[in-house]
Amino acid sequence: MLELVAKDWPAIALGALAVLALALLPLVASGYVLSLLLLLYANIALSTAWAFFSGTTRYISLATAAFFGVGIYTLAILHVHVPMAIALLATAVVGFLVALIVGLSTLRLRGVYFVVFTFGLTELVHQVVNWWEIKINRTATRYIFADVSNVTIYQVLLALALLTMVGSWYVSRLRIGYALRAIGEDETVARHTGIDATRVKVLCFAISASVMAVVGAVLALRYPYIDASIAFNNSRSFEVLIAALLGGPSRPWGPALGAIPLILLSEYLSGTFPRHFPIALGLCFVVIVYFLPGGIAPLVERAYHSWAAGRGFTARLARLWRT
Amino acid sequence: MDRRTFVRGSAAAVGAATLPHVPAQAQSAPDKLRFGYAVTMSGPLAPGADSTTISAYKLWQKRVNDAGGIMLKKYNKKVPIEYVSYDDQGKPDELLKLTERLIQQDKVDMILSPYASHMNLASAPIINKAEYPVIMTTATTNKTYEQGPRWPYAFWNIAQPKASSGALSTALADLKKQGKIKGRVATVHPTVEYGVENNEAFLVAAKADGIEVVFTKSYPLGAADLQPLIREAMATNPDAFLAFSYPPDTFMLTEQMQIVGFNPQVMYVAIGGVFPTYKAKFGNKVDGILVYGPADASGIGMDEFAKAHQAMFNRVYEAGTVNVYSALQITQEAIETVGEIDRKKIRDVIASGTFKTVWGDIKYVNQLNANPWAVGQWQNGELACLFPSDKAGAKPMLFPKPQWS
Amino acid sequence: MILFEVFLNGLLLGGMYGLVALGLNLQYGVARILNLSYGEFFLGGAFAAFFSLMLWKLNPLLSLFISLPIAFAMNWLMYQYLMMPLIRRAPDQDGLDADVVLVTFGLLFVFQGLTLVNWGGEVRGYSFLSVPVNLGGATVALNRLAAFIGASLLALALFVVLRHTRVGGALRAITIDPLAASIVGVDVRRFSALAFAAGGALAAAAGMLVSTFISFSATTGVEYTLKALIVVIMAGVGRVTGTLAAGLLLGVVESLGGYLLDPALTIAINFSLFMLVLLLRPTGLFTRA
Repeated sequence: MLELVAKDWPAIALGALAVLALALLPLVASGYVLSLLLLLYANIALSTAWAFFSGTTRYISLATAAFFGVGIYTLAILHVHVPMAIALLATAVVGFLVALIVGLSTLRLRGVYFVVFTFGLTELVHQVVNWWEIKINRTATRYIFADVSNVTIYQVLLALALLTMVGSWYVSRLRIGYALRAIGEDETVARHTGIDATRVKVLCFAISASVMAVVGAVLALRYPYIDASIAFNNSRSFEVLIAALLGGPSRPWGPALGAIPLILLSEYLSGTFPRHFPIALGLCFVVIVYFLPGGIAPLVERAYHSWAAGRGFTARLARLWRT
Repeated sequence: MDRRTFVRGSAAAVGAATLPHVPAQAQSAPDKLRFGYAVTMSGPLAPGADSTTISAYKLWQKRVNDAGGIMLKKYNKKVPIEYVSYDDQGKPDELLKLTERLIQQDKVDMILSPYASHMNLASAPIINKAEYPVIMTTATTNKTYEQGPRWPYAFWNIAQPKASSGALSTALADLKKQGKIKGRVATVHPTVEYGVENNEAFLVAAKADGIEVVFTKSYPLGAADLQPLIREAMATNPDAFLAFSYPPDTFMLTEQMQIVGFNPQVMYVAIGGVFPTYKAKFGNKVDGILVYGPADASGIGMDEFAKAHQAMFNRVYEAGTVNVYSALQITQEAIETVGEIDRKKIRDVIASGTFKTVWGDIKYVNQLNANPWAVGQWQNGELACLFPSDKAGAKPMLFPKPQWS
Repeated sequence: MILFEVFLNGLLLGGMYGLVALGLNLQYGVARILNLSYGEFFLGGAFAAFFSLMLWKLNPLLSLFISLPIAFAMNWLMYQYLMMPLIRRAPDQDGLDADVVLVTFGLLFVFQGLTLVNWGGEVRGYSFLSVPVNLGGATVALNRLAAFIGASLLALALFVVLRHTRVGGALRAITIDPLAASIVGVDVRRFSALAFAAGGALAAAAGMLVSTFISFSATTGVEYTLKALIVVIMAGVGRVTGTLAAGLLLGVVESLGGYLLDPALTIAINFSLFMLVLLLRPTGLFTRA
């Protein structure tokens, strides 16, 4: 299981301090900074949840937008009837259940077929929800009556991002985490070693989907109203995929390393080259892929290891503490 | 007097005595007026945003700055406009964040409207809370009636569903009364909020006006073939065919109606019907087609506007650009009336004034444009404004729509 | 009566789907590059046709003389200089897909941005062959019929090339197994580049044909990439000749389904069919799984 040794405590303390600082940031930061950061946290949570399943099993899913939207709609429907906390909990459950059904139905799909299937799923859900809303409710939109402050949303998303990262890391140390990675290496072999690949895949797919649903619901609290095209926007699936691939999908903290530069870079480019933003961003992607194969995470890891093994002052200090 | 007042008073006297005497006009006139906007510049909404909104912003800035800038009479100086602009990528999340960035980080003097109904509405609470007056130029939805009163700083410039659909219904009722049509209408709309709201508004108005809706169906936005739908509508033999459509389907419906030979006496298409490219595609076959949101080419200042637009973009203007431009003119006039950037006073001027613009006379009642041009018609290759029929410049409706050979 | 017309229209619609997907199946099936910027070349063909007619008053078909070579050349260069480095370093197809998706996504952004900046944001359309044709009592549009005929001819040409020429044999070998193909002496790199470039040219051709009856703007390229992807997957990756058949099936079901159920559901029906096919035949209709 999980053993914490004395040498781990400095890192944990540092981490806790950082988290506290971020949590208390609203006291000093402007609404804009909070908005920027909360979107970052949402992205981190989404891409980490995505990589939790797709990064390990190598089943690339483009259904992120579908579950995100399911979360938004669940919230929109329930929040007028039940307290907000219950509504959010319900979104996690609904996301889980929907993914369970989807997962069970896609068992025979592999590779690019699975990818495009999940993309089609998002579109299908979009169309059906839209049609249903218009047919039954004679309106394509739903109001969101939420009196939740930006600060609260910021803190909830920060918590979600952390929970997802810690959860992903924790599960990676459990047997099921090993099972996930084994499936990613070679599913046939994994099955032959006794792993119930079906159960593992579907369960983890559903867990990642429920996180996505909750993130969607929380973000939706900021909109005046939602409709199917706001809720089920395919580009979200791609952004999450890209953040995770950029960061390095095979480590729990990889996607975060992709989301952070992506969001900050986008923000910088948007301000500097508003009219040419897509061109600038596109060029950045191309450059990053060529010079950072495997994503950012392996780079950071190599840098960390060479620092830790090195002769620098800080590295020596760290080694001293550990012994 | 009490001690507090004495202290304050003497402090003020001392302060005034020690400051150098500065004449009021030279008191730190800004050398630029910074206008901020976050509009969609990438993604599916970008094309519309570019031709409707951004074109107007750029054209206005050029014309104002060429004339020296906006006159701030407090400093007796004309100050040029500088833009701080962002791409919201068509995402409400981005727009919320970027609007806050404009307000808190860039601290712009004024903010301009985003593009698209849901984006206009998403930004309204933020600009209202920060007390930036903004004339929203691309929102047409019942929500402006429902939510508008909550945001005194948000103004809504274009015809809302009740106005445009209501005008259509009234026109049809008139024709029916004159015995020119039997009053049987077929409607179609895309399954997006705009389509749904306008269709619903029409159904309500039609019921009240005694118009019979014999067919009403919807189609998904982006449908690649609408011919079956048109056939179904045609089979009910209606006098009028109303499509509360978006540009791709506006084009497609018109083309496919011509293919199958569906020639209703009254035909309406919504968004995109005013596009120069729509006219370019269909040539003189556009005559008689009713459209949403026209502009009057003979309006005040329209000649110069058209020329300036052609010179800057090498293409004919789109009616929506005229609407956005009118909002900019009003903003400028309000600033010049107040004489400085005092956003509360500017807001009050916009709320209470009557303005002469390229889009006709504009007056806001409860922040809603009282009578924007809602429905127009192509007549002899030019856009004629029909409704509101009592607005200066309104022309009579051409009936019936000329048959396509 | 209307039913027959709806069926015919579905067939034509399906022809369009197949047409749009042909080039992508070459690019992904043979050259193994999942090119997300595919739709931008489709759009290039559309713009060329539009300018050809509206600006230079020429028959839009003539625009192919410009758009085809440019699309071919650009895609060939893309393959040789942008994709080859990724292919060389990728450990397996999945890894390659990941890199390629990122890069072509970036290219998509670049192309779209350039198009927006250069040609602005208007929705464009033009009228060409926009006349009705009577087919057995049903009315169809000549431009849609022409696109269908174009799609059929292209599919036929591809079929002939693939089955009855040496080049086609090489391409089929690469589709089945690039390593084995290289062992038997096929210059995999050259033929993959050829397939990739031809795919791009096909995209431009499709764009030209479709632009005669559907309006477009600087950002509609992505929609067509995704439409094409759906059809490619449904047919089966590498099943180039099956692409048209899969497209036809989609078109007919979508058209009839929309007419019989609810026109608002046409896209939902389209995706439902696609997903149903995958559930029943997880590697596409025409793959011997």
